[in-house]
Amino acid sequence: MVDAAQRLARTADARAPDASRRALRVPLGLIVPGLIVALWYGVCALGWVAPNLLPSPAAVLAVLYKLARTGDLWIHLAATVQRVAAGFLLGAAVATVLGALTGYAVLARRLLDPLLQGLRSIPSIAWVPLFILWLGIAEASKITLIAVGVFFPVYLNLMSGIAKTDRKLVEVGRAYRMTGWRLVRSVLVPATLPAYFVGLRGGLGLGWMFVAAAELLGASEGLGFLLVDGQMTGRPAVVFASLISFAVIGKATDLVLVLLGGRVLRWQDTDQTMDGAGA
Amino acid sequence: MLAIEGLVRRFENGGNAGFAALGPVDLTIAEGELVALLGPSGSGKTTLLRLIAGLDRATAGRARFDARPIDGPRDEVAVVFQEPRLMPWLGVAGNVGFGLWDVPPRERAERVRAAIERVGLAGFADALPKQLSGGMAQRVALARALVTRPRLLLMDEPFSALDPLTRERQQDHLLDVLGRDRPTVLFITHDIDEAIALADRVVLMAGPPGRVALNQPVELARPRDRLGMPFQTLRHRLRVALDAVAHHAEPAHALQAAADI
Repeated sequence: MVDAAQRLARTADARAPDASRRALRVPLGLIVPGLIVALWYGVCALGWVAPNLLPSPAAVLAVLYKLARTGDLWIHLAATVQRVAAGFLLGAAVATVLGALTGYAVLARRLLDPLLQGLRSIPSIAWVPLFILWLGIAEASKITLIAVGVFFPVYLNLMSGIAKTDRKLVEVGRAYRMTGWRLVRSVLVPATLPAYFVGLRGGLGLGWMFVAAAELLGASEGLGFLLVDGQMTGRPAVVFASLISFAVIGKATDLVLVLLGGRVLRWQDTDQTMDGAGA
Repeated sequence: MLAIEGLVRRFENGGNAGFAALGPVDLTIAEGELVALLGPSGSGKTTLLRLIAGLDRATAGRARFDARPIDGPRDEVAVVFQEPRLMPWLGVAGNVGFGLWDVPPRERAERVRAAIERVGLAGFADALPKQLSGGMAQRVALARALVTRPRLLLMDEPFSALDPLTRERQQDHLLDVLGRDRPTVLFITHDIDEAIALADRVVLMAGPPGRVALNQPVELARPRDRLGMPFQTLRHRLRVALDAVAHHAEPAHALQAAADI
């Protein structure tokens, strides 16, 4: 029993530096961006670059502030977030159903997976003309494009996650008379969650990528529209403001997934549960 | 009572005949008996155990427990695998209660608590498998089996992954943990000492295909003195028999060799 107590104590010890490391990680991650901003500021202040190519950080902040004050920023942000949310939910939902089906049933995998793998090799942007032809240039085509982007990482990770579930754990379930849905719920679902979260995170990353593409191609609001608008009207500060907004909101939604996953996957025997899982 | 009659398991491997892993095997185990299955690799021990557990289907013959043929996992039969096989996402209590899904929550909680205490893990109910040592994890696996109150307990080399000291301690504790109303137990081992220390009877297997080569009762008083003369004599006898089946794969030789001692 002593060895057991010591072992638990050791695990607790191991957790302490882990927590402090996590606290340290945020400031460390800010050092390089801080240096870049300082460099950026210096370059602009010394007049080494024309302001119509590279506006100063102060100018970008001023634009952001003005956009926020007038409410335009929130309108654009809301439009983009809504598109990503709708596309993400749609793509992830379809991917969850199909991934579960092909992961669980060998027949479904042999029937559907080759087709889906084939569709995957079409560059997703190449769908745009077809979607616009079918769905028009309004929201539907944009959301569909985002959903296609989200679909593949979620689908692939879920399918392989189910297929790679430890057969020995499934056998334990069988030995305790579990069958059908009970076996799926008690063993397969929890065993597959880590891979599923990796897929969701990758899918969300692609969702942000595709919303920008969709909005660049034609939109009257959204962060992507702001990019085009800034370019057309020769206001680089607006372009930068949009880029920064993309970075902040993208990172924020990713963080939500990481925190959610961290709570659910606390049991995993790895050091950093979700790191390096981005798309 | 466990009654095995003419049990055969053949695995298809492309050829017409397939690979004969087991049989025919005849074996009877009495109520409450503690039997060790000893034998070299390939003698069909695990195949036999999986058939009795209802995790695999026999090619021919049958196994009956309490007169009912075994055709799948049953609630009065529990298995402890070679590895702990704990669900990594469940704590100790969750793992111990894993097989009690058809028991009302209140009763389940009480039985789980008692079982955890019985294997000496009180205070670790919330620990996750990744925080447990190998010996602790194997005790959780034992508790998971015992909490279902099995009448037949099957164990596949339950202590083989442990270091020698921990292994001996777990062996010594097994009988206490099994309790007074202990189930019929059939366990696989490679370890002659373990077989003699624990079992009422050692069944020596040879193969492939796996067959029963020798039925050796262990009529030593408990607790058993591992260093005493009777223990060592039996050890020597089983060792010679095991060597014989390992090298000749012929049950008759084993019987003869063992009889000569």
